[in-house]
Amino acid sequence: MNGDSQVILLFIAGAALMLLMAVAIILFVVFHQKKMVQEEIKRQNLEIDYQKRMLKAALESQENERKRVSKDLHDDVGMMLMTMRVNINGRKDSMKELLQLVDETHESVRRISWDLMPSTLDNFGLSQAIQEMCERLSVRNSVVVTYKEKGKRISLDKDQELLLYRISQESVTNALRHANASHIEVSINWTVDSLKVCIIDDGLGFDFPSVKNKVSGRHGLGLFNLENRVTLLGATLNFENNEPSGTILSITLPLISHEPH
Amino acid sequence: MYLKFLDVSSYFLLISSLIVAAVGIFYWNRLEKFLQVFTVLKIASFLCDGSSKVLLVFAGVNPNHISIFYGLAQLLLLFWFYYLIFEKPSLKKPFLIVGIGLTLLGIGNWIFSEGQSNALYTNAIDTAALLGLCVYYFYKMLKTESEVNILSAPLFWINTGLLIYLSGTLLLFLSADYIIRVLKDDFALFLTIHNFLGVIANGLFFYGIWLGVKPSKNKIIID
Repeated sequence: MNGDSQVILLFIAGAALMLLMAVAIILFVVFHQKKMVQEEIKRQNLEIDYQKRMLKAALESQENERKRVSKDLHDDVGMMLMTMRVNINGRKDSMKELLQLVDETHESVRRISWDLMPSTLDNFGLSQAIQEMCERLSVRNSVVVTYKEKGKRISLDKDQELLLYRISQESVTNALRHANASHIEVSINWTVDSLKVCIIDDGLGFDFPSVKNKVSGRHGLGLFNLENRVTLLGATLNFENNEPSGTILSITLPLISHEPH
Repeated sequence: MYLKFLDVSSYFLLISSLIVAAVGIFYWNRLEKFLQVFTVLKIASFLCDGSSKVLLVFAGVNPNHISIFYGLAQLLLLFWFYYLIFEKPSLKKPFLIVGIGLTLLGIGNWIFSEGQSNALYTNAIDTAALLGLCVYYFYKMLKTESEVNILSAPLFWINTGLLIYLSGTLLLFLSADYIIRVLKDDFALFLTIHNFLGVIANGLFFYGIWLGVKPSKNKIIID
C-alpha cells in the first residue's frame, strides 16, 4: 500500500468515525428520550387516574345532591302544594288567583325537579330521556329542538347514561343560551361498536380555542364541565363548524361488549 | 475512476435539494418561521449546486467561489435557524458575535485566498461551530421535551440530517486543501462521499419539513 492510499484510507476512516459518533449521539438521544417519555407517561397516567377518581367523586356527589334536592322538591314541596291546592279548591269563596299561583308554582317545582334528575332516565333509558328533554325544551323556549335516532339501541351502564345525558343537556343549554340558535337537532346514532350523539345548531358558532382559554368565564366553565364528563366517559368530543352557520358537536363513545336491548 | 460516481452523485444531490426546497416553497405559509429559514437555505443550496454544475460543465470554470459563498450563506442561515429554535433572547448577543466573527473570517479568507482550496479551511471552522449547535440542540431536547415523541418532531429529523452531514464533511473540509494539492484526482472520491451524505441529509430534511407542515384547523377533537 503506497503513501497516498494510506492517507485516503486514513481520511475515510476518520470520516467514518465521525459519522459513527454522530449516529451514536442520535441513537442515544432517541433511546434516552423514549425512556423519559415512558416515565412521563407513567407519571401522567397516575395523575390522570387520580384526577379521574377525584372528578368521579365530585360528579357523584353532585348527582347525589341533585337527586336529593329533586326528591325533596317532588315529594315534600310538591306534596305540600298539592295539599294547598285541594284545600283552596274546597273553599266556597273562590280564590282563583291564588289557585292559579299554586298551579304555576307546582309546575315550576315539577320542572326544576325533572331538570335536576329526570325520572325517565332511570325508568326508560337514555334515548327516551333525551327525547323528552328535547320536547320539554321546545315547549319551554321559542327554539325548535328536534330529536332523531338511528340504529339498534344498546344497553349502557347507568353512569354512562347519566354522563351522556348531562353532556347532551349541557350542549343544548349552551346552544340555547349563547349561540342564538333557532333550530337545534339532537341525534343519536347507534352502531355495533359505537354510540354517536350529535348536537347541531344553526346559531352563531364559536371559536373553540379562544372560548376554551376563558376558563374563568361562563363559556369556558361550560366547556370545561363538558370536557371533564367526556374524559370520564372515555369518549371523544368533536367540534365542527356547521354550514352556513352554527356548530356541530359530536360525542363518540366506543362500545365494547354490551348486550343489545 | 471516481469521476463517474462524482458526476452521478452530484445530480442526485441537486435533485434532492430541489425536492426539499420545492416542498418548503409549496407549504411555505403552513411552516413555522424556523422551517421557512431552513427552506431558504435549501433554495440557496440548490441554486449554488446548480450554478456550480453549470459553470463547471458548460464554462469549465472552477466553482470554488460559489462553494465558499454557499458556506457563508449556510453559516448565517443556520445560525438564524438555531437562534429561532432556542427561543432565548439571551442567546442573541453570542449568536450575533460568533456569527459575524465567523462571517468576517470567511470573507477575509475568501478574499485573501482568491477562491483557492485553502479557503475551505473556514468552512471547516463553520462546520465545527454548527456541529456544536447540533449537539447542543439535542442536549436541550433531552432536557426539555420529555412529553413528546421526538420521532414525530420535525426538528429532530432536520437536526439529525445536519449532524450526519456536518460530522461526515468536517474532516473533508479540514483535509480539502491537502487532498486537492497532493492527492489531486482522488478528491473526486471525497466529493462523492460529500454528495452521498448530502443526499441522505436531504432525505431527512424532506421528512422533517413534511412533518412540520401544520395541519388545517377546521376540526378540533378532544379525547
